Amino acid sequence: MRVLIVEDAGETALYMRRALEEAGHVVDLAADGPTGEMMARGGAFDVLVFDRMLPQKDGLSVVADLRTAGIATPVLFLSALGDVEHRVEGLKAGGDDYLAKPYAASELIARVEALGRRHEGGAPSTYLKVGELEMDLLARVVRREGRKIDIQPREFRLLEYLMRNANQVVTRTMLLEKVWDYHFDPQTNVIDVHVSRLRSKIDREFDKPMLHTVRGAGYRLEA
Amino acid sequence: MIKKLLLPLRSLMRTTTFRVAMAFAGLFAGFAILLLGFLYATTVGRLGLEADRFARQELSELADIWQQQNVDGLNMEVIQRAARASDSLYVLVQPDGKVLSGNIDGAPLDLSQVDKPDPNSTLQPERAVSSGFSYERPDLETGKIERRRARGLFLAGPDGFGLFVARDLGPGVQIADHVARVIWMGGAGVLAFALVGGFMAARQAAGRVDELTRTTRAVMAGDLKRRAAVRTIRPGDGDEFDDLTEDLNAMLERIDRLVVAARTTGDSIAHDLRSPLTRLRARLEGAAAKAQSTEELRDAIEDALIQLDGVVATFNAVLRLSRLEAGEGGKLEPLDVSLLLGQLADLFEPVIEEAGLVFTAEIEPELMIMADRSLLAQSISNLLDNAVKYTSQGEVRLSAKRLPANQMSISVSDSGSGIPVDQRDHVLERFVRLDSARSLPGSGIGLSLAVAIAELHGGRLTLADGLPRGADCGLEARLILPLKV
Repeated sequence: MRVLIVEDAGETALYMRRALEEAGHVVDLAADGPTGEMMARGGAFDVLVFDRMLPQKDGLSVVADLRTAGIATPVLFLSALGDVEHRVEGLKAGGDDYLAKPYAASELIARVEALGRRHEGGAPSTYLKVGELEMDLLARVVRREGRKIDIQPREFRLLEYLMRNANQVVTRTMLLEKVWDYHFDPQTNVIDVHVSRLRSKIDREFDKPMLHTVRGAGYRLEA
Repeated sequence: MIKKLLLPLRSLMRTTTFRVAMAFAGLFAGFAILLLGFLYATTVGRLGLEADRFARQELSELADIWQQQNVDGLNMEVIQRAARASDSLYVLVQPDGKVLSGNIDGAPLDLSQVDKPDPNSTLQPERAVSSGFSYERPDLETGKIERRRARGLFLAGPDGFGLFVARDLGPGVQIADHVARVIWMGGAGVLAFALVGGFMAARQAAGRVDELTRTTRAVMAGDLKRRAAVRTIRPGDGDEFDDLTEDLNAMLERIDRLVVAARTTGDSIAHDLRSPLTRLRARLEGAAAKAQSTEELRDAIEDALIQLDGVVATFNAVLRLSRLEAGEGGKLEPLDVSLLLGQLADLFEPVIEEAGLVFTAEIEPELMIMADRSLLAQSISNLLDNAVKYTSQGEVRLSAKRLPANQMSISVSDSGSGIPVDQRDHVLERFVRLDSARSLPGSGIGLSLAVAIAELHGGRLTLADGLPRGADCGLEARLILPLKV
């Protein structure tokens, strides 16, 4: 994936580049608003990562202008302003996701990858298949190796998200945000319990586990 | 000394009350003058006209006599008329200014100022000079000397003699004079009263404004606990000063709270972040010094990262709480809170059951309120989180129901050890964790955040006994919110 990072704090930018490059992505850097805008208009990037506060032209304005110009590349905002209204501002300006500083490298990578994939896939499909695991979103049926798995509605949404992001790390915060639409830290391990319940249903009676815990990051559904 | 006395007087004269009192006094004085004018026009003026007419009549008769019989005949006539007159006054003056005959002493006019007619001309009564004057005479009945007023005409003859004919204005003028005196004195009294009253009212108002001024100045000088003295009155009986005082005090209360909140933010960041940061530092230091293997180093670093995340979470919570307490953040929109609670129950059910507790949700459907979904969800999530944390066995219950007076309640009850009654208010403050809870993870900011969020929604948070179980009385955290109208 080609990623453009627009961030004025040099050390942070380099740290992000290293993290994304280690995850196998190609990264370009820009240090101010106008440069970032120019590069985003010219280059074929899969994901744009914008700091909210940039010299000369702030991230919100740059992204709003890019959207007006018809550039639909997914945008991830990074910001020290982490409150809900800041997030809403970012999404209104045309951002696709919002990550408050400080963040874990794994969180950044997982979100960038999720954004890149979402851009690839065209219309949301009604049938998902990961290895031997199948999901029919219309009939709301889940099968593994042809055997029907009894699953609750909340587990269904969780599994759907995991399957749409199969083979990628998804973090707990991402699950809380994307599956439950909550933007706060629930403190307790609510997400872990949900995932482990789901795991017991799709993995227990099969030889090969599919739902893996990635230490210090989150979860990954593997084919 | 005088300057000392004048200074407060000058500042008093600047007050609105005093100025209003003065304006009214002035208005009253103007009115009194108008009244006097009217009184004079209708009494003295009219009597004067009548007196003039009489004098003119009399004068023309006497002028005829003067013309025909010379001064001697006139003198005789004047003597006669003066003798029988009571309200008519006559004076015949010689060329040397002495009175020849008449019934008052001396000429009321200075003859030298009257232009003398040509000695060869005849008498000209139409050229008589009119004047008003006062004189003294004994009262006809009592004999007491009194000053009276009269109006008359003076006619100068060609031979140097002068004739003065006048008419006493009578008791009407006396009465008018008396009334005028009363009005003047009364006016002066009222004026004095207005002055003194205005002065006192101004001083009283100034005193109360002074109290407010002193309070605001004291607060500006840094005494944030200072409040303006409140008069003891029945509610609703207060005047505008009482209202102002109460508003000022309420405002100071709010400012004080904000300042305290701002200060606590700093204090609590220091307080609550210092210990995890210390632990973090010790952990990394220990690992750097003693770790034998990469494995041990990695463990230490991962441990440190988890602690760091906790620090960040606490930091965020403190900032959010401060913003809420400062009245920032939060956008209220119509929300089906029943739906939200259903989703939260869904989210928390597994974790509560995993903790070995029974979870029940009793949520009345279609409860609509004005709320910030995310903040409200966070608040209830905090309460559920606390319930799980402090309940070792038994039940956690989430319930929501309609209340009278267009309100609703959201309750999170548990069968845990609860909070002693006398400490319930205390735990709602920031960073308060009871000693019994020190060993459990958490920042102690959850309840304060829930309180701030409740207040943002125009509601409140109360604590009560929950679901008793054995010796434990449990805890019920109840959020009372106004329903959307």
